[in-house]
This record gives sequence, structure tokens and C-alpha cells, in this order.
Amino acid sequence: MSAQDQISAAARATARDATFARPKFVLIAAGWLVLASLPFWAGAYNIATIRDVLLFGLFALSLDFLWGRTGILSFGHAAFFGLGAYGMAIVTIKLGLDPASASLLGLLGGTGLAMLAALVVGYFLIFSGVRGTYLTIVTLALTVIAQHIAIGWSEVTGGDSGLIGVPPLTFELFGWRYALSDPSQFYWFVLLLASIILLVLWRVLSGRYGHILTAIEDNELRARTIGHHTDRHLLTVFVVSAGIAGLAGAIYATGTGFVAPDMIGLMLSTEVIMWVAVGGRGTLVGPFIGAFVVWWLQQKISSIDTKLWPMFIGLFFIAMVFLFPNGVMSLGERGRQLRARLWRRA
Amino acid sequence: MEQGVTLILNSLTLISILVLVSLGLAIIFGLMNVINLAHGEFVTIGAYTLALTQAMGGNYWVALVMAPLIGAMFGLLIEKGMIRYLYEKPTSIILATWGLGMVLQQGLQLVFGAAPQRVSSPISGAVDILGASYPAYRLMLIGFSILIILACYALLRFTRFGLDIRAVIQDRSMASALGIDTERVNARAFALGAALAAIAGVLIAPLTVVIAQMGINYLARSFFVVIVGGIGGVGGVVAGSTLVGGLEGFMNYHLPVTVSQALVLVAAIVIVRFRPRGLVPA
Amino acid sequence: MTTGTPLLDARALQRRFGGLTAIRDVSLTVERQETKCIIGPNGAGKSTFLNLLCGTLRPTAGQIVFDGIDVTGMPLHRIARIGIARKFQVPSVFGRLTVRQNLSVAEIGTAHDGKAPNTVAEILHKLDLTEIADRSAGDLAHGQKQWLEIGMAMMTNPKLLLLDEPTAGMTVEESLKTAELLRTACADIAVIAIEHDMRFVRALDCHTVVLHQGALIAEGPFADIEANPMVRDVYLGRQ
Ligand SMILES: Nc1ncnc2c1ncn2[C@@H]1O[C@H](COP(=O)(O)OP(=O)(O)OP(=O)(O)O)[C@@H](O)[C@H]1O
Ligand SMILES: [Mg+2]
Repeated sequence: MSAQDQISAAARATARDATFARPKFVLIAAGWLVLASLPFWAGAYNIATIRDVLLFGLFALSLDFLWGRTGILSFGHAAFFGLGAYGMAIVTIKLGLDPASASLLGLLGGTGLAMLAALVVGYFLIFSGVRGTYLTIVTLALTVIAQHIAIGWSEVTGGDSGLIGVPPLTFELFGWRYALSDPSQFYWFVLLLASIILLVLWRVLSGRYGHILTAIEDNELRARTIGHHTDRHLLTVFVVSAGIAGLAGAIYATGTGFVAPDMIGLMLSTEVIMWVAVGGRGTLVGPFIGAFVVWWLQQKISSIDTKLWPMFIGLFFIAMVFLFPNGVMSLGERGRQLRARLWRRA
Repeated sequence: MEQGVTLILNSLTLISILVLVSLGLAIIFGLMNVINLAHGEFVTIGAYTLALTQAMGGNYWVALVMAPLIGAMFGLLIEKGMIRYLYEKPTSIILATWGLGMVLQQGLQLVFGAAPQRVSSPISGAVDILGASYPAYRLMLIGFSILIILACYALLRFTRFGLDIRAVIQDRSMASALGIDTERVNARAFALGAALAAIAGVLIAPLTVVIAQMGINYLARSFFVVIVGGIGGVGGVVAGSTLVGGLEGFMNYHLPVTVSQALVLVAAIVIVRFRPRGLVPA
Repeated sequence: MTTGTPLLDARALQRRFGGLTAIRDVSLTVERQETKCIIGPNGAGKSTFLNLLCGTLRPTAGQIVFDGIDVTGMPLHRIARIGIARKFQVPSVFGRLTVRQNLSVAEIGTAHDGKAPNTVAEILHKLDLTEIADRSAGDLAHGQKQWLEIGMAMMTNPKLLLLDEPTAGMTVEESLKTAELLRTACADIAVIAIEHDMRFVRALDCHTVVLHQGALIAEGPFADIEANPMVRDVYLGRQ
């Protein structure tokens, strides 16, 4: 290593420290602590609500991993979330297993089902060179049909009313059985899981693998000519993303205790796009923030009139495209850039 | 025999509907590479035109003439007011047209209420065909679709406008170098696509439940049609509709609707693997 | 592996685009560590020819054998991994990544012939990019992008490097620097370079191939090519 390399390596190290010292990270850490302490000062109802929002955040994270890092917009991500939820419900309710194995099998089955669906769809499409908007409409069709099946195949899915009676997550280790029926403990479990997945994704994506994905989004042909099997990379991301969505769905179902067709349908698919867009595509933490903000907005707006909410979403999508294509959070960033540019010009 | 005839006619009805809805979508998609997720709402607008006309005492045929005009107007408005600014950003178009679709749905629901609209077909009764008695209105629908397909084919094949459209689909920059006003072609094609969908809306309305959200069912399927059939031509749309509609029509007979729809999705995806540019590429 | 046979053996390649035959019956061999230049007027089919060699286009007829392996129709990433690298005519670096990240993404870790694989630091150093290593590649000047792209190609440890107009749009000094960089960084690999700049070709003074309307019309040392009246007619005469 030359002296110059050492200097620039040192410079990068300080740059990295500076990253951690930036106010953004302080804010995120503070937010996390507030979340972690929630069970000490909030009521059971609020704990359960925030837990569900966190799971939605995890679901949004899965979409952000796909959309933010490869540019592929899935318009049917709720299909994967819903497959997870329905998988969990069907395994725990219909198979008559003991609670611990049912939970475990439900988690694996739900997540696995979502990944399998993504693998099949993704293999056929991605390996045929289907990209971009084409993929988007196929995922859209996927969620529409998934919802039809959830409604129509009532012997298995419970039809319109769904399935009720999903038991809480139960683990068994060396004969010691533990059910996550206590709201606080279940909440912490969810927070921990979401944090771990977030950290792992962040870690992986800020390294070379993340750069490869960025490169593929930037110029896929070029990425191929330097030796990357881009089809395989994209398929991997698609399947992992579906798996995280399915996991979030499976756990969500154990929290609410039931599944219903709106967990697999178009509306939820639309909303998750909104969460990511509000939080900032490609930011990983943003989707959680987006899920919180939108959930809060939804409370406010629906309390005036529930019919207003879909109208609001529609207007939001239009506004987003024209006013803040990089997410609501980017509005501040854009303001800063604009100011900097003006300042530089002056 | 009797059952077979009914089955075939049912499939033909479905195919006709799919062709009508998908034609506009295919032209728009092929021409501008634009995925218009509000396309289903053009169908809805057509159906509501019929409902409103009949509610005001007008008859079916008036609505059938009015609907394409109203559809075209909406199409033009949307192209001029929104799509035009987003041609370079396909994902943005998806998001914006999706939002627009939701706004239109909610708008219709606010104005007309959530209950299904009442519509009636202009002709009733049944016709005997090879021993099977089949509703006359459905036969009319099939006949009408064939007329429209032929008209579209002639329009694309023999008129100046059709020539321009095909030129732009082939090579946009070349077409504009040859002096074709591609922006105008875009706008007109968009209006045409919307008009076709609105006609489909009128024709479908008596056979289905007319509600603000009815468009989405046709949207997803017509995208299959376009993907499977290939973009940019009448032939592709007919091939795609025949496959998707035929498959669904025949499977509906033996299987639950949901299963047959899922199988159609699977078929569409598998076909894309082996014929990425559709059955009848442009 | 197989010494004696040429590294690259392109046999009777043909490529049609609809009615247009962009490449007709072109054969070319390149030995290990040999440098060849392709010249020819605009639209002669030079870029198309390189596209065939690196797999971004498939030939409609003919065969490409590289290092004893038939690579005709092989997937792009496999061609890259067995040792053919490409610099595009339009600089195509990954604009959202830094220079260093661009190089690291291109590091696929397969060295050939028992050589040690190139490392990011080495290539940064060889191509004189160390100082701008942490700049975003999208912000680089035109010349720097071209050098970075050569660097990325080198990171894949190629046996054959295909360069499409490496000095296009460069100032005279930049062109000279490029020639120099190629001499040092790519000394031990085979290179095929498309060039318009005759000074550059003259400086390289290598075996030169002339394409015209998709066909190979002359081939030989640059001095001979320069003296060839037919080549002067179709190409040099216009300069
Ligand atoms: N993808 C394509 N589709 C249709 N025609 C093409 C395509 N690529 C190249 N051509 C045509 O093939 C011919 C050769 O083009 P090519 O880019 O190989 O020329 P070139 O020698 O590299 O020219 P230049 O010096 O301008 O770079 C041209 O007539 C071009 O229009
Ligand atoms: Mg060229």
C-alpha cells in the first residue's frame, strides 16, 4: 500500500466516523431508544399498534430493498406479505399441530411460500430479460389474482371473512416452551427482528454487493460486460425481498390473530409503495419512518371520513411524481441543494 | 353439442371484451412505451356514460356514440395534462396514472354513490344457434367487436394517421426526422385508446356490475393480453385475447374462476419466457 | 493454455440488422499480447464488430473462438469472465459510484495464466486515478471517465482488451497520456483498438485492419496501410 493509499484510507475512516456523528444518525438512534422504551410508558393498545406499524415498516423495507436498490418497482408486494400471513394462518389453524411446531412451520411456510412465488415469477421473467415496467405490471396482476384466490378459495382461505384464531408465536427450545403472548415481549421481539434485518441489509448494501446492485441499476449491460450475472443478482434480490415481506406478513398475522383478503390485495400493495416513497426510496430506514408518518396521516384523514383516504392516496401519487420524485424526506435535501447551488453561483 | 356451442360463445364474448379493452392499451404501450394504469377507468367511464344516459331517459345507442367522445376527451386531457411531461420516466407514469385512477374511482363514487349503477341492454331475448339458445345481446357484442377490430385494422393500415402511428412504433426518432409530429401522434393515439376502452365500457356494462372499481379487473387482464400477444398491432391483441380469454373461458367451465385466473397468469408468465416479444411481435 | 493457436480467432463473421449487413464476412486473428488497430470511416461497422467479439451482439453467421473456446453466443458475463474486456465508445462508467467503487465492482477475481489478479490500488496507481479515487464517477471530466473505463476493463483481468475509440473527444495531451497509459497498463495483454485519430494509430504503429461498409478491405502494418491507395481513397483521403 502506498503512502497515498494510506492517507486516503485514513480519510475514509474519518469520513465514516463523521457519518456516524451526523445528526441523522443521532436522530435514528434516539428514535430507536424511544421505540425500545415504549412498553414502559405506553398502554397495551398503543404497543400493539406500534408493533403493527413496525411490521409494516419491515414490509416497506423489503420493497425498498428491491425498488430502491435495483429500480424494479413491484406493484404487488402485498402478494408476498399476504402469502406470508395466509401461510402462517393456514398452517397454525388448519393443520392441527402443537403450538410450537405450528409457529415454526408457519413462519417457514409463510416465508417460504412468498419466496417460492417470487422465485417462480422472477425466474421466468427476469431470466427472459423482462425488466422495468413489464415486471411492474406482472406483479400488479399477481396481487390482483392473489386477492381473488384469497376471496374465492374459501375452503382454505376462509373467503371474504378470512381466517380467525392465529395463535401467538410460540417457541420451544430444549423442552422449554415460550409463547409471545405478552404484548411488551412480542413488541420487543418485533423491534429486535426489524432492527436486525435493517442492520444486516444496511451492512450488506453499503459494501461491494450494494455497489454491484447500484451498478446494475445504473447500466445493466455494462455490469454484464464486467462479468456479473445480473439476472441472478436481480432474482436473488427479488426473492429475498419477497421473503422479508412474507416474514413480516407471517408475524403480523400472529399479532392480529386473523388474516383477511385485504392483507394480500392491491390496496396494501399501493400503500406500501407510499410508505417507501414518503420515507425515501433507497434509504432503508426511511420506509419505517414512512410507515409511521402515513399511518398517522391515515388516522387523521380517516377520522374525518374514511372515504377520503383512497382519494388522498391517489392525489399523493400524482403529487409525488411531479413534486418530490425522490420521496417526501428529500424535499428538505432538495431545498438545501438549491440553496447551496444559489450560494455557489453568487 | 349444445354445451359446446355455449362454451365457445361464452369464450368469444370474453375474447371480444378483452380485445376492445386491450386494443387501446396495446397501441399506447407500443407507441409510447407508456403503461397507463388508469386505462381501466376509461372502461368505467364508458359504463357510467351508459348508466347516466339511461338514468336521464336516453337510450343505449346514444350512450354508445357519446362514450367514445367522452373517453377521447378524457384521454386527451390526461395526455396533455400529465403523461406528456413524463415520457422519459416510465415508472413515474405508472405511479401517476395509478394515482389518477384512484382519484377517478373515488370521484365517481363521491358523485354517484357506492351502489352499483343500473344499466339495461338494448335488446333482450335469445337466439338459437346450432341448438343452443344464446342471449342476443352477447351476440351483438361479439359482432360489434369484430366490426371495431376491422375498423382499427383499416385505420392502422390504410390511413395517414395509422401510417404515422406505425412509423412511430417502428422508430420514433426516424419518424420525427421524416417530419411526423410525434407529439400529435401520441396525443391522438392516447385519445383513440381511451375511446376504444370507453366503447368497451358501454358494451360490457349490461353484463357486469357497474361500480367505480370495475376497471381494475379489466386492467390486469388486458395487460396479460398485451404481454402475451405482443405490442403494437391488432394481430397481437387478437392473438393475446384469444389465448387469455379462450383459456379462461374454457377453464371457467371446469374450474373455479380463481383457479383459472391463476392458471392464466402462470401461462402468461411461461409464454413470456419463451416468446419474450409476444406471440405476434410488432 | 493452447500456445501456437491465436488467442482470438474470429471466423467469417457476419451481422445483419434487418436489410442492412453491418459486418460481412470479416475474419480476424489476434495473438497473445498483440495489439491491433481497426480503422474505417463512420458507419463502417467497427463498433458492431467489437460488439460481436464481446458478446453484446450475436453474429448472424460465423464463429468466434477465444483461447480454444467457442464463445459464439455465450452469455456476456461468461465471456467477460474468460478474459475479454470492453471499453465502450460512449464512456459508460457507473455515475452513482465513486471511482474506487467502480473499480471494485469490476473486480471479478479471476486471474489467468497464473498471474496475480489486479487490485484496485494497483489500477488506481497505474491509471493515475488515485487522487480522484473517492470522487463520484458521474462528476469526472470526459478524459478521466475514459481512463476509469479502461481501469474497469483491466480489473476483470482480461487476456484481450477491446477499446472503442479510447481517445475520442480528448485533447492532444490527453490522447498522448492515454497512449502512454495503455503502454504501461496493458503491456502484457492483447488489445484491439478502434481509432479515428491517425496520430494515435501512428504512435501505436501496430498491425492495422481497415473496415469499409462492413467488409475488411485491407490489413497490414500501419505504414503499408497508410501507403495503400484504396485505403487513402475510402478513409485517409477525407482527413
Ligand atoms: N443496433 C443496430 N440496429 C440497426 N442498425 C445498426 C445497429 N447498430 C449499428 N447499426 C448500423 O450498422 C452500421 C455500422 O455501425 P457501427 O456503429 O458499427 O459503425 P462504426 O464503424 O462504429 O462507426 P463510428 O465511427 O461512427 O463509430 C451503421 O450503418 C449503423 O447504422
Ligand atoms: Mg463506433
